[in-house]
Amino acid sequence: MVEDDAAVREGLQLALRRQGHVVHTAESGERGIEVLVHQHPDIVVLDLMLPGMDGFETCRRMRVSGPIPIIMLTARSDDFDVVAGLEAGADDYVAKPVEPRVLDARIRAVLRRAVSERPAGGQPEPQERHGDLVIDRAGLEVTKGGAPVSLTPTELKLLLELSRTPGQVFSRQQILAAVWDHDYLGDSRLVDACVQRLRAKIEDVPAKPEHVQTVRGFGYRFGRS
Amino acid sequence: MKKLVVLVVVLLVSACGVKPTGVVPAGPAPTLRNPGSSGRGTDVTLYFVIDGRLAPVTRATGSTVGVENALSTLLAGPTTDEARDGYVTDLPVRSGPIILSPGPPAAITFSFPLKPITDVGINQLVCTAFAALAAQSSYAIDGTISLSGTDVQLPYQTCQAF
Amino acid sequence: MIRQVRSWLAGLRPRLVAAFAVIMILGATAAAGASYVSARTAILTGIQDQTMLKLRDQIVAYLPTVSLPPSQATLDAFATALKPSGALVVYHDLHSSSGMTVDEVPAELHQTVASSTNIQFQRVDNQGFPMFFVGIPVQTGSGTTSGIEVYAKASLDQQQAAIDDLARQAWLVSALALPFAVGVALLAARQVLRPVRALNTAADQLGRGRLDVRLRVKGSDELAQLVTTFNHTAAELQRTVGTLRAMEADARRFVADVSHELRTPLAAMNAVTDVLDEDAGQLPADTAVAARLVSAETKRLTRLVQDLIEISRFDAGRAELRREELDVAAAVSDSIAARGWEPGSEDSGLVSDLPPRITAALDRRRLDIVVANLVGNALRHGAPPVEVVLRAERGEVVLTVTDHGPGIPVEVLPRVFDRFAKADTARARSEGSGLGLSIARENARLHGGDIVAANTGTGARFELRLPREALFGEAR
Repeated sequence: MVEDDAAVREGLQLALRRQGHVVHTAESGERGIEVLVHQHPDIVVLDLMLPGMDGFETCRRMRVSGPIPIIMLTARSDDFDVVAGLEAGADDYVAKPVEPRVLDARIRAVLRRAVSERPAGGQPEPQERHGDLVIDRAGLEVTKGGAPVSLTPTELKLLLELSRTPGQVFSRQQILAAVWDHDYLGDSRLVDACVQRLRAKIEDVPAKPEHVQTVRGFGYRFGRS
Repeated sequence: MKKLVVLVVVLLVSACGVKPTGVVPAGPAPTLRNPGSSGRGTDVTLYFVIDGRLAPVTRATGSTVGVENALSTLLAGPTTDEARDGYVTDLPVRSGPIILSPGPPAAITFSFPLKPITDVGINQLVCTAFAALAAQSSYAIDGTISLSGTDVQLPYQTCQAF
Repeated sequence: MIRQVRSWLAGLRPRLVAAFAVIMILGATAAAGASYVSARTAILTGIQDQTMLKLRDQIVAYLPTVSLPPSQATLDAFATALKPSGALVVYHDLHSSSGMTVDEVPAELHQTVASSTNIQFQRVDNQGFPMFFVGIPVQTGSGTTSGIEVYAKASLDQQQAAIDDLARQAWLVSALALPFAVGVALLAARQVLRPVRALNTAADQLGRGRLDVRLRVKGSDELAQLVTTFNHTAAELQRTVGTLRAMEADARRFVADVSHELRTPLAAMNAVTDVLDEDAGQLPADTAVAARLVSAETKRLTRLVQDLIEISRFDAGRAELRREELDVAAAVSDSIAARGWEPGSEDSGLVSDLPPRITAALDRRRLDIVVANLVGNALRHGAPPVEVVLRAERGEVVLTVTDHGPGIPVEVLPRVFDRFAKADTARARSEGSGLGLSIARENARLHGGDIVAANTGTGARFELRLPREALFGEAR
């Protein structure tokens, strides 16, 4: 957890520890990246308002180092911060003041994404081929033109959910429920931001997507109908 | 404003047409001066013509003047002063005896013909005669006289005051 | 139509026109009247003087031939002599006439002449025909009345006709002046009214909040002074309003800043309230009470600060609307269910009528805030059953929340949506922050809708109306 305010850091650490998590803390973005490198956590909880390197930049750098799930803490639930944080690569966000229960639930939801699909189901499913995109549901691997694509658990889960029934249209609320485990009030911008990141990785021309298509007014679908 | 309008309307209405008036005085009344009333019988009244109408001219004389003398004076014409004031006569300059026969009605006989004399001239004679009669306060009662000339007799003559 | 005419008549222009017209007509009438009067006098004096002078001259001419006292014959001769004037000659009881009779003489004139040494005249109206009578007494040389009176008359019919002609002309001139007067008046009125109209427009704009409106000062008359005063007033108003707005903005910014500053320590405290709650059972009794108190109040304070931040976001105009097509009934049900209220169940006291397939483009999160506030408010302050009813009306969705409690006190009703407006002043601290309804309404208005509150007689009713589509010109 990267949080500059000592009281918040200490309070959240206490609360999360009581939920059964092991928490490493850092008071700045630079320090956070150090901890990330040395401790290999399962998830990062990142405050956006940080002295020195801010949360967005920290988020981007952490993204570069690997597909680690990141949950942002937005001191202001201002829309600009949320959008900027999601564009920087965050998987989810929680607005301050944080309810420890909510944060715990979000953390567990993200971790489920990263973990649940990992144990191979047993039955060897054939690799799905969509153009030059190959999805291996069993091995949780995605290759594009033969080269492996590095996806965060959220991006991967989104791709798997969408590609399970190509051509079917999913509303953002449906996607939020399926991928993020969010309740009915989930922020649809999470979906939009994640779709943008996913397209950047799997589409030839992200501005003209072939795999993840927008259905105006409704949501998204995978492939052509 | 309202008062002004009312005033204007009243003025307009009252100013229209010919309105009746009360009795309005307009200058002094003419005066009757003859011996009968004033006791002064030394004036003679002669009728000359001015602007085409008959007008009396009073001359002061020293004594009472009879009809004959008055008519003789008339026939002599206006004096220079009277002529300068615009008095003329329609009568020819005549002389000769004039005879008055007291009537009634009074008759006056001239020693010249009357026919050539104009109506205005005759009127001059008649009025002057009446005035002279009135001055003597005895003869003018019936209002007519008769004139006789060498050629014609003119009965029932009255003084036409115009 | 009639009202328009009436209001136009009440305006400045017709008054100016009327005033001008009246003045013009008065002037024209006075001029025409004056010339009329003098002409009339001239006409009447002409005929009267002529009649009087002629008769007097005739009398003067004839008088030397008359001696007193006159006989009937003398009077007859006199009357005959005055024949051109048609005169009547009277001497006491005797009289003689060459025209008029003694009965025609007006009694008043007769009386006056009998006792006078002056010529007298009188105009009378003889059954619509004006007549002129002149009476001339004859005085003796000693200045006393002689008893001889001469009367004559003249008809003024022709004069009357001429005078009537004059009057007609005077009226005609006045009447012709009228359209001219009205024309001039309209012209003048426009000159005066143009700046007045400009002022009116400017004042109207000022009233609508355009405080930068100014007028060009033209000339130096009273209207120009008025315009100058207006400009000064507008400038002063703009300055004052600007100052007030700046102060208000400062105040709001202060609240926003305070709220933000409070959030970080609250975040820390909020993180550990669960710890306090969970471990309170193991603490000494007093400490446990204290711990629970701190925990509960921290949560309250957190809610209050969150609401303050939400409000200040509306104040700053930074609230963003994210519409998405949604089934309103489902969204409302979700909101209710998420708060743990169960419609239809006995103990919840909540009855809902939410027909499906009413869709609208709304902001899901903001709709949730509104629904939670309205229903929560009804459950807290009203009495069950609380009815939640959804209806579609033309371009709007209407959600009514009706309770069966005491209703909203009438003195609170007008400001029930004000910030920190509390229905029950005795209970100064309620569960809500006091901002719930304000926030609900701000959210409704952000959608282009509104919430109105009313008492049904058996409780309070809040009616939320939201347009089903994004409004034209709304920022997406």
